[in-house]
Amino acid sequence: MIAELEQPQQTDTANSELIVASLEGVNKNYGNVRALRGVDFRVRAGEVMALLGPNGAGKTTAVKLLLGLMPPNSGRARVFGGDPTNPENRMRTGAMLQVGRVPETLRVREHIDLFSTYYQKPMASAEVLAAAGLDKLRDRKFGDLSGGQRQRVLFALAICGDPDLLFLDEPTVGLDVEARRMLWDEIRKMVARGKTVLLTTHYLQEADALADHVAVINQGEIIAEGTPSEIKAKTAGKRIRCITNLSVNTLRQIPGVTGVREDREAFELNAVEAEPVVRELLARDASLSGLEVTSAGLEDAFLALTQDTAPDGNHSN
Amino acid sequence: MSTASVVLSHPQIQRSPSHTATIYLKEAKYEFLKNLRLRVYTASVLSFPIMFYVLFGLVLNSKQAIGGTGIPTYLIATYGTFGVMGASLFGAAAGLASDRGLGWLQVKRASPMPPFAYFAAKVVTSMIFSAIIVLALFVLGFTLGGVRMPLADFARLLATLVAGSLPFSAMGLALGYFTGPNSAPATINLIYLPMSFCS
Repeated sequence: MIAELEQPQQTDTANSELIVASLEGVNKNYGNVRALRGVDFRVRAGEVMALLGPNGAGKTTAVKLLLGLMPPNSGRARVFGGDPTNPENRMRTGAMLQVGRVPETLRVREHIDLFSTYYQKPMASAEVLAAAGLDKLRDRKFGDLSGGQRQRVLFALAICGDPDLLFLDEPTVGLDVEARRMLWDEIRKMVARGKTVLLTTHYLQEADALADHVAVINQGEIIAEGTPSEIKAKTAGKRIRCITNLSVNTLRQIPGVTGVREDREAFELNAVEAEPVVRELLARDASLSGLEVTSAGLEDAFLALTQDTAPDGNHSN
Repeated sequence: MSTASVVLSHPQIQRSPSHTATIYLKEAKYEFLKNLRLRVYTASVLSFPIMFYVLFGLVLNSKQAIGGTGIPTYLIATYGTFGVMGASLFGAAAGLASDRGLGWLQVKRASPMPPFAYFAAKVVTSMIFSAIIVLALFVLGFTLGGVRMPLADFARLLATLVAGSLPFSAMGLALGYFTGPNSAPATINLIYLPMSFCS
């Protein structure tokens, strides 16, 4: 079933006005490392698109290409139908990137003041501070902030120009649950105001909660694209975990099993329906233990998808 | 023709001159504030030339002269040069190397900041720190070292030293570009310390 996943169909040109950002057949190499391989995806106006993938999958590279911070080796990166390095396009774009060090001796309000100046029609600084939950921290120096507070400042800098298109590269890394929910709410508010968001994340829950469209990326390739529910539908409905002495191949051949994964001493099976598989398992291995059956979430879909593209991926269909 | 195509492929944003000026001013203001609050920077860059001047120009050799110029006067130029070099090299190189190596410059580049404003702010900040150092040396010289010189000479020396910040800032920016955030201070010292003997 996974092999049936396709690259997105070429959108016809009539829809091109609605495409706010796109990578078209993009390859990007860092030396011998192929960071992106033939990547195609589109971000439509007014939606939240999530690029979902493990660390090192190429998410940040995709964002940097769309921000015009580097050129692709082949293919095109387009923003608002033009070149991402075009200053006019940068005026309509906000970006939250992963940064190692931000000048630590400047205060929160000073950082926001400076970035707001770059834009033609910035948001009022009070509005930015409120949206990023920084009201009480406005006079703090950046160096005195916690990790989560620093993320909020970077978010504030991304939105302060009131951009039409917002790139958020792993925006909630290091945030606690409350701060993450708050940021999600702010992202939803941006979308409600007609903004478009491209979000990268390795939190499946985040993509599920926020995104209209998800592109799953692994090892530089888009391996699945669709709505969160479509992505979930690409994998089986149930996850069965058990400790058994049956071999991987035997497990794969059980009717209804769509994926098998070894997890420490146990196996995890994906299945459309749990009951027939469990019956079969118990019939074949009387010593089976540690049986658990859960609903497959986006995480399972993700694992099944990424596992399938692994070089030794010897998948079931 | 070639210039025309360059202009076409990189259309400029229509900003009013006052908006552009505001960006340059704020960029410079915050670059200055950033360094001023950075104790490692201010302590080393300001205190060394002043300390050396007080020690060698005012305490030890204040009654001597070189080629008809009193030591306190002579050493304003010497430690002024030393101070300008330090402020400009460290200010430009360390800042750029760290911004570049640790991702901050990419955030700025992704914004509609005019790229030149970033570099201009670093150079202007180095010049302001240079002027502060040189003026501090003058004040010490005038008050404690009995230094007297015509206003024109004072103005010329101040202007020359502060203008000297330009090449060292440029050198600093080049160093900052070619070194990483961790190796920048060491690399600067490798150039700065030997050059200090020339000053």
